[in-house]
Amino acid sequence: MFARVKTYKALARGVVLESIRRKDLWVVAILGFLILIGSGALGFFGVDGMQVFVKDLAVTVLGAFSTIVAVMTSTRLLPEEIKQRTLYPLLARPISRLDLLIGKLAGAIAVTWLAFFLLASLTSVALLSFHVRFEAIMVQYMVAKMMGLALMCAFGVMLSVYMTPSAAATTAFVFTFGSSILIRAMTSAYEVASPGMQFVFKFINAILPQFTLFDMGGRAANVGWDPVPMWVMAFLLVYLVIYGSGLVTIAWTRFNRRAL
Amino acid sequence: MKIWYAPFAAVSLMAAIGWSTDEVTPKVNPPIRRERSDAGDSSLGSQIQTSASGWLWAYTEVYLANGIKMRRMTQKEAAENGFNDGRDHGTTVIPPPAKDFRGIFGDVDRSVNAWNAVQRFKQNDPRQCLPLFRLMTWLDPNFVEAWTNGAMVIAMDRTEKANQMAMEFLREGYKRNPDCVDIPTTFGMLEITRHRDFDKSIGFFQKAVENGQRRFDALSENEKQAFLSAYRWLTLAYRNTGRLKQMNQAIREGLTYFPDDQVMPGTGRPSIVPPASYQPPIGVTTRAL
Repeated sequence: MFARVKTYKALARGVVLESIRRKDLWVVAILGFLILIGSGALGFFGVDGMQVFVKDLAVTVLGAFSTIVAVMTSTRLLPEEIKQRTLYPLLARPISRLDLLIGKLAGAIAVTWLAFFLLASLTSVALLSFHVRFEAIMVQYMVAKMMGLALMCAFGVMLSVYMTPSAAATTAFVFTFGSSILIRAMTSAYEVASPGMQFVFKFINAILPQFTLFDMGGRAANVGWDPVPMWVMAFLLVYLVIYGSGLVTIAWTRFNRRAL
Repeated sequence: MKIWYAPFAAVSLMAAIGWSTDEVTPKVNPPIRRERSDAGDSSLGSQIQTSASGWLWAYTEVYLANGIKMRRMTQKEAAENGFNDGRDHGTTVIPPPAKDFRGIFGDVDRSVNAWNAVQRFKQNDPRQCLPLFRLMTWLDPNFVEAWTNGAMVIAMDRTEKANQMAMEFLREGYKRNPDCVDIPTTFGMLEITRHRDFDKSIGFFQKAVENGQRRFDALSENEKQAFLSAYRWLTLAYRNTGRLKQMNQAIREGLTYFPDDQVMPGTGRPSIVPPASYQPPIGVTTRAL
């Protein structure tokens, strides 16, 4: 067990180092710089007492940029290893393909969280400059967002096993940004739908990744909302573990049979 | 030819094109005022502008409702809730537990998002929406409702500084929309309600009426309302400055456009025209007088 954890750690470290070597985090730093420039431009509006707008903008930008990093990092890991033939020396070591998959996923999560922390720190500086008051819900927003990003990484890795990196990235973006729209449409249309269609709605809702549940931005950006109950945070963690495991299993089923 | 000539020439050409866009843009993409706050016009660029500003317009409601997202009720929902008056009614985008088929996913969704069956009626300070109005007017300077609503929100403070800021905002909007009805009407309303300057307001209402008469057939529903409003306020301003002849003339003129209106003739009824020496008793509001 310990040896396995050590393997995952080594693989994840490789992904992080590769990301630093590819200067991915530079892109994140540039995006962060844009946040600070943007917040400077906001001062032009005179945002005193307009905390809702500033916080809303912050969570929107943070959510969008961190999602982009998660998708772009996770969808290219395995295809690149295969394309550059660096997968062979890796698999020549005493590790299984499942270990490789989990290790790579852990690396993608680590890079995404690193980028998220970087962006969150720069956003916090911008918020502090506008004297925005931090509430307990902000901490929950961060924790839930990190869990959501981990789920996105698992989704991206799973797609990359079945598709080309570009197709996987596009599909992942469609689901991460579009699943909430689809779910809202289904909840609105459910009552007027036929019984057959209602069953279809229930089925789609059950299998669709519920990324929207991990985004507390709407609550964090507005005023006077209490932190969410702990059972909700526990549910999100359980959902992440179960759904994430399912995605890894689907990816492994294909990756294990793949001729390299 | 030296190698840098070509890039230099290309950059110069690009700069020349860039400089001339101010003159070209009004010809190839003339400003078109939208008919309604949620409608766009035909050109692609303008559609993006108006869609973005329309989205921001709708998003002000989210700010006002403290983050709770609302949508229009379907006809079935309206009937179930006893709203059979033919008007639009809102309900939360995330349905209440009794109407949500998602089970625990729905419960979690309601917990992590801004959702509260009771609090949905609570309104935030409209001033939180000011940056949205500023963005709307940047994106679509012909979106007149954004200028007028933004100005009224700025002027909510009822301080002289806020009044001046609102007037400045309106002036900027009027420069972009010199033929509109709403902005001069709002100018006049601010002069009356904030400065109690009826004389100065008359000029604005006259301008609004003039614009409305000139473009009456092309006025949208919102602009027609502003046109009617301009006549009503003009009538009131004439009455309160003792210009009864002009008041009667304005009422006659206004009724040719809005023959069913009861307010204009009501304003001119002799029984409610106060004498010049009239002083309202303490405690009686004088905002409209």
